[in-house]
Amino acid sequence: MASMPQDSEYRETSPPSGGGDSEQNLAVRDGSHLRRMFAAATRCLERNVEAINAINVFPVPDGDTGTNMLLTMRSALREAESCSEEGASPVARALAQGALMGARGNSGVILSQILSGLARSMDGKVGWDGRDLARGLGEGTSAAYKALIQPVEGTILTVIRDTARAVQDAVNQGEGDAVALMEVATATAKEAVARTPSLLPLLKEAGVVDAGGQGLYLLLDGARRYLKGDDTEPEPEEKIPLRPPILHPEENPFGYCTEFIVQGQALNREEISQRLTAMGQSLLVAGDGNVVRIHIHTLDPGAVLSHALSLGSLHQVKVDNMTDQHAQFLALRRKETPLSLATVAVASGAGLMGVFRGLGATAVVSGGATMNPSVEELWQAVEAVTGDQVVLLPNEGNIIAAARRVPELTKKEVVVIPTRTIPQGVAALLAVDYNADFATNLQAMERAMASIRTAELAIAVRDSHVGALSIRAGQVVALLDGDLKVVADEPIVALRDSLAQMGAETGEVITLYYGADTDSEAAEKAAQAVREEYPGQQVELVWGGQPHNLYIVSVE
Amino acid sequence: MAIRVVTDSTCDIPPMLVQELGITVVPLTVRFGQESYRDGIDMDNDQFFARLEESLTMPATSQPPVGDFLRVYRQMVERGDQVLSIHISSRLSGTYQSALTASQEVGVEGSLRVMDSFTGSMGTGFAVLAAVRAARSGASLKEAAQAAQDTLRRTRTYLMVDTLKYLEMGGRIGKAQALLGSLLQVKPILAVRDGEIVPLKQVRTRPRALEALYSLVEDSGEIEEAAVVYTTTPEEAQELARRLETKLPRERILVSTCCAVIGAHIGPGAMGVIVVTGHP
Repeated sequence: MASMPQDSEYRETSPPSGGGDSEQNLAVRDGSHLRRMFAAATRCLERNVEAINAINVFPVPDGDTGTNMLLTMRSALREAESCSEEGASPVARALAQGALMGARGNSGVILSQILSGLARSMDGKVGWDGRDLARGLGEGTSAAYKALIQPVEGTILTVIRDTARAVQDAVNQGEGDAVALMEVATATAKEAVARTPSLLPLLKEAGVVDAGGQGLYLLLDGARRYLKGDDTEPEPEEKIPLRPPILHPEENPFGYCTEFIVQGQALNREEISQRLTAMGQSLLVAGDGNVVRIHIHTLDPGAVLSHALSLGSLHQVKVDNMTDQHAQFLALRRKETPLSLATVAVASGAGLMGVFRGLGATAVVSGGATMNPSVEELWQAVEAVTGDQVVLLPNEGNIIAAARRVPELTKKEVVVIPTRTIPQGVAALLAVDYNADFATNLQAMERAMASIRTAELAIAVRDSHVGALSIRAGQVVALLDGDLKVVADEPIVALRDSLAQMGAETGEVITLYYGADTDSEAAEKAAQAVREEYPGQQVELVWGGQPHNLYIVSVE
Repeated sequence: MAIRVVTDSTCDIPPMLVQELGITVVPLTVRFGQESYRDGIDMDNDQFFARLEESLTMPATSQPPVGDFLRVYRQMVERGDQVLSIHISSRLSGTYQSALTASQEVGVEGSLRVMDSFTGSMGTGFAVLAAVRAARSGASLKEAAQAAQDTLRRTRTYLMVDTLKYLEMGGRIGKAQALLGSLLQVKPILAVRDGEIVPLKQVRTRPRALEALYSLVEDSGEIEEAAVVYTTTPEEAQELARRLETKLPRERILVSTCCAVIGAHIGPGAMGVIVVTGHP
């Protein structure tokens, strides 16, 4: 702990010394220094705006926190530039006024309050020192808490409060030097930012730190560098988000998040940036000289890595598939925001399982005609979902009996809607009204299940006779709501016959789920034929990926 | 001394009515890349939605800066007027926060009141209209604010979207998150409750979605006022308004086009129905 000069107390109000650009070791600074310090702070923020936008998930994940803070700071600087006086007080007031007029977003409003605190602490002063900064941070903190409708911890608020407190503690212990105090401020802010995920679950879940807090840290750090006379580029930011919390709207959701370190000689950050910009999005290149850290979202991580390899050796290479990450993120978010009704559905095939998940099923158990899930598997899924009232959709005749055993195994209220086909399950799930009570929803689901017609097309494995139909192995057969009614040599013919018998012309929506054994081109052709035949109906083709059934068809 | 009612451009009150009633509307901003437009002033809705459908990137929207409110409030307060400022839900936009900060700065408690409507579009709009009516019939600031609050308590905001994509990209999806990623084409039916988006149900076709909106109104009991707000489908909106005539007289049904800011978040093809019921 450095001891402070005894005379700093009265220097506060003494006129500014000399001026000039070497601020180092100046005990007293005036308004022009304040202006330049904030200009430097804003530049530091500006360099990181995109990175801050990228981690913005709170309060609204719309990726504009960095932009809002920057716009607010620019407005503050404009006002300070147009202030012709050089005293600390008028410049600080201009900064505060400009920030307020231009404040955007919660973080912008908080920034404006911090600056208003600073203006209060410098009120009536010509020169300023570290103690004024400390008091300003304290005043700014209380103003910021007051300004917010609902102050939330784990945000920029926590960061400014912790920082103000640590700086005040240092002052109480005798420190008065602005540079030393700003060192305390940035170190504290950095730690506080790192702790934000532990205070705000939303951040933790998204794998990011608070965007506004990070912005504040960068502003403080920029100010600290200015006071130290340090105009070097900041060192690589460690806090690169681990998972993309939300995709940039302009970004392709598919691709690979690629991160690594290059070690080499005379690495040029600018050159590397220029070269990599064309290779992807969200590019971050940090560091210089011998070590450079690179982060990029790219469709071709190989190309990025091989370019980097020409520059030096690669370390800590991390490549993540963002499509997976996004799916995981959505799944996480979904868990966090449960629907009022818990549903467990049975389906086989990745596509069909996805269909149920996408419609809001809480859990999907893998299984179907050829692979019935056990009572235990169904029971476990029921226990695993949140909610004490659970609807079970077996979606296959052979699974209904097992499903009916589940209610007696659990304390939860479990109701089996006896869906016999995938389309029946889909219809039941679509009937849910998230506003209605359990009993009303059960009725609606039963009704919806009964109103849909299903065809299941498969290849006959041996010769047989069913009623008046004689079937040869290799022909295509169709079950209409469970009864074998159609035989044909070609899938497309079986499809046509099925739709005709189902009364498709009176329906509104025809859905074709094509199976694992049907290629997408053939499926597209079949769908086209159906669209031509039923121009008045909405025809949808969906990849179901189910085994056994070439197509599962529904008319509703 | 008069009571002046201030709102923001997301309230969707038709411009004619805004002018007739002397309501002050502070615009939000929509940005496509570097170009910014003041909502409802610099770009008409048709142009906006045409651009939205073509645009590969989501436009950014931003709340009015504190200074915009400050200027409006100061002018009014200096003239000796009292101000009631009613805004879009603070859970959907930072507008209320901006207005609140400005009001604290003006610092004339008792003659300047800022209110969070916890809804949007004509949900906010009806509260604004109620406040104006109260003020015109000689109510005090407190009474006008109560009239607005009373209306908000009786307001239901429903909407259908063609896709959840825009709500997701704009970060306003709320609890409807649970319905993301449908592999089937579904039209989600949503409501604004406690200031944020909640899912009600999902249906397969657009006609059914419109039917679902109608049923929600049908089941709302006695209705005093209604508004149909559309982004790109005026004919459907008019048709829905016609059907609502079974519930209330035509002159109390408003059809309005959606502002660019909310439009950017719900997307082309979206439609909302807002009703003020006769009961809380």
